[in-house]
Amino acid sequence: MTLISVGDMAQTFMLRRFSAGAKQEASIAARELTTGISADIGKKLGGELSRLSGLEASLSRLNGHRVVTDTVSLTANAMQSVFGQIDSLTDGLGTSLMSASNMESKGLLDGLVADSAARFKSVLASLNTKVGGSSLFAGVATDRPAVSSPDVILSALEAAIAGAGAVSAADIETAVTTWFDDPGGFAIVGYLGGTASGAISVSPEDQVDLGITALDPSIKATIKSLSVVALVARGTIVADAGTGKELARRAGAALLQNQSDRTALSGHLGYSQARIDQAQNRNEAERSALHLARNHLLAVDPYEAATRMEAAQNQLETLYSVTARLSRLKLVDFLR
Amino acid sequence: MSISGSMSSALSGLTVAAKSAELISSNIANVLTEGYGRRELQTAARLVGTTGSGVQAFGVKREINRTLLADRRIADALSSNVGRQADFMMRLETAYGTPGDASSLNGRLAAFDTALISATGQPESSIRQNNVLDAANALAVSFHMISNEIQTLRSLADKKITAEVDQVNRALVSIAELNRNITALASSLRDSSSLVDQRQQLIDIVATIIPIREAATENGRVTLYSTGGAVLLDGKPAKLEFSPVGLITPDMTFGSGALSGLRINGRAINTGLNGPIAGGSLAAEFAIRDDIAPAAQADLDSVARDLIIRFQDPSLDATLLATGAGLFTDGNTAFAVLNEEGVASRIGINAAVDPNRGGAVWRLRDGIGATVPGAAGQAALFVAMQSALNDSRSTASGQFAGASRGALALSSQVISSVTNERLSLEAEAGFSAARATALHSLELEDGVDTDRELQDLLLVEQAFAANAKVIQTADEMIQVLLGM
Repeated sequence: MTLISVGDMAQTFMLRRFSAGAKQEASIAARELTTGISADIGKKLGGELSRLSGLEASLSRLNGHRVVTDTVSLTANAMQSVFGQIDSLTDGLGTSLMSASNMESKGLLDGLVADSAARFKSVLASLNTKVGGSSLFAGVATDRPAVSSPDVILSALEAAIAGAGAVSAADIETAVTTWFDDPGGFAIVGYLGGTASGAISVSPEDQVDLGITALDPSIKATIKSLSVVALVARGTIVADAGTGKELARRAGAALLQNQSDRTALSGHLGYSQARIDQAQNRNEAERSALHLARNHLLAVDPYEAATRMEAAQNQLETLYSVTARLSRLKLVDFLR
Repeated sequence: MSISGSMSSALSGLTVAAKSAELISSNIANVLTEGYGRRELQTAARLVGTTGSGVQAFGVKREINRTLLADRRIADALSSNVGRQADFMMRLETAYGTPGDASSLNGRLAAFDTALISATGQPESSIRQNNVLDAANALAVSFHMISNEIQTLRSLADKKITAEVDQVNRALVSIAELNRNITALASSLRDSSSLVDQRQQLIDIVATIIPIREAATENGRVTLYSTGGAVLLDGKPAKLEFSPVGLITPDMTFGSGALSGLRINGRAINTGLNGPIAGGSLAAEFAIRDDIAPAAQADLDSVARDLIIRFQDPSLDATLLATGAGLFTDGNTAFAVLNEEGVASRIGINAAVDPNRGGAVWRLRDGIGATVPGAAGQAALFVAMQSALNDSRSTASGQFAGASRGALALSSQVISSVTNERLSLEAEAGFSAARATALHSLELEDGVDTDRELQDLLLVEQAFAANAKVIQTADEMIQVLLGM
């Protein structure tokens, strides 16, 4: 390099380079200032994106769990309300049946038996409740009703009793119990659903199992007791009034007993509901925590970005005035 | 010493002044011309017999710093080499997308995961099943897009090689031609500076493509060698040969013979790191086409393979045949280890679950091979698929083979490695660009300085006036003699 001259282009080149650099700096700072997120995420994380990717995946998964918890909680609440309905339908029926069967008044018992037959239908109908198009107590066969119509069940029972040749109240009750416990009996004719559905994840760690079907022993026992009373009301298998009275008494006693079993079942469901609620809360908390962590990973300090922006702006302004001055410093302007 | 002698000396002074003014005006006119070497008139005292008599111009000197020029060319070549590779990585990273971006590969994987989780809550809902199908489709499309991008960049590299080989060939022919013209001018002692300028510009073009050393020989001729040792111009220009292909697919490699190598004067040369053309933009394009992009494809293929294998497992879905395709297929058939190359470009969804291709979406719930719909509320397969996606399994291929991880973690690893590579290439590119810029700036400092030219012009003006004054005075002296 000759010391006595500096090419004109060198100066222009230098100024151009500086201004391009400063402009780029300013644009990066401006972008980071407006978005609050680093303009080059890869650089901010030092090329290691696994953590960010893990956070994003967890956040996305929580969205899925939100859909699941919403659905499952709806199902659980509906099941609980069906239990409430069955309770209110059978509440006091056992005691009434027992006391009425001990009385001589035939009219009172007849009325009560007829009423019980109607309640039998209502209980079956409530077991077939659908929520959002899916059957609650049919296990995995959510597209089908859980139990058949009362007539189908009662006719099958009558055939079973006739087949067993049962005449006495005790024999009839045994025949009914056998039919309900027989895998080829109620489980085929009365129950229309599938196997119980399995456990479902409601959060990354937590699963709940809402696999209660109409085949559950306590539900089946309720159906059985009511069906006996309904058989009495149909009258076809009852040889005399005494047998009917006795059957009604036995059914009443059984109803009283399985009420507590049903309460336990509903208690179990209550636990599941509580777990779903907890999972929902935990998921929401986790979502906020993950959002915070993600922002922490990606965010740029706004003050720092603003300072960089300010610095770049100053640099550009200085550069412009220097450019203006330098371009005036030409010998040709002074030669007149 | 006679009066006419002084007249003649003054006249030579006027001639030299005029020549200087001409050169100065040429310098000022070329103040913005890149590669223009500043000219200076070389003068000496004229001798007549043994006595001095006036001034003579014996040549035009073109000022150029050869060492600086050579260094700048090497720096330019390196900068374009690293810059091209950094650009490739940048585009690859953009194709993968940033995790968290819904359209990134990771975002698609996460969305598929989410769709599976949502489906476990309502297995009977055809909306949920369709969500899973759509997410799986989007995931496959995402693989195709990245794979396409990689192959497009390879095709682009192939095209650039063609263009650059063409550029080098043309430039070498022109340089050889200029060489001849310069020699002719130099032997008849005439000014060849503007031809040298042109030749320098042409050599600059070649030098970014293939780093070269320039050796000056007799009569202003130059010989060009690549820094790797190939002769590019020695009297006759070398001929570079390359045959381009149209579209490049993952199975086409230089090794398989489907892609062309480079030949110089009919001899095949090594285009790799230690080859004769190493260090310039041409070598970078060869590296992208033959090494960097295929490695990127292999990584992507390993992610696609991992995903397909996770769902091609009869223990996941009892309706699958031992050799049958799962939810994800390799071009509608089951994946076989032998076909791993380019699987990311062929990954698809099993037609059995796609209503548009005669399938039924309920098979997502009941199994790929199911013949009739099963229980509407059966969530077991969705649960199993979701855990198959996230299970820690040993990665079978690619640079991350060996360790165990979930599908998402594997793709994060691959994306991280791309980002990491991009960052380090970018840093290197920044460094080499800064070096090239600094050298370029130094070179420009040797260029035309209008201030200096104008100062020279002032001197020339004064010299011209003084010589004219000498002639006028001599004339007056002769007039006095004649008037006597």
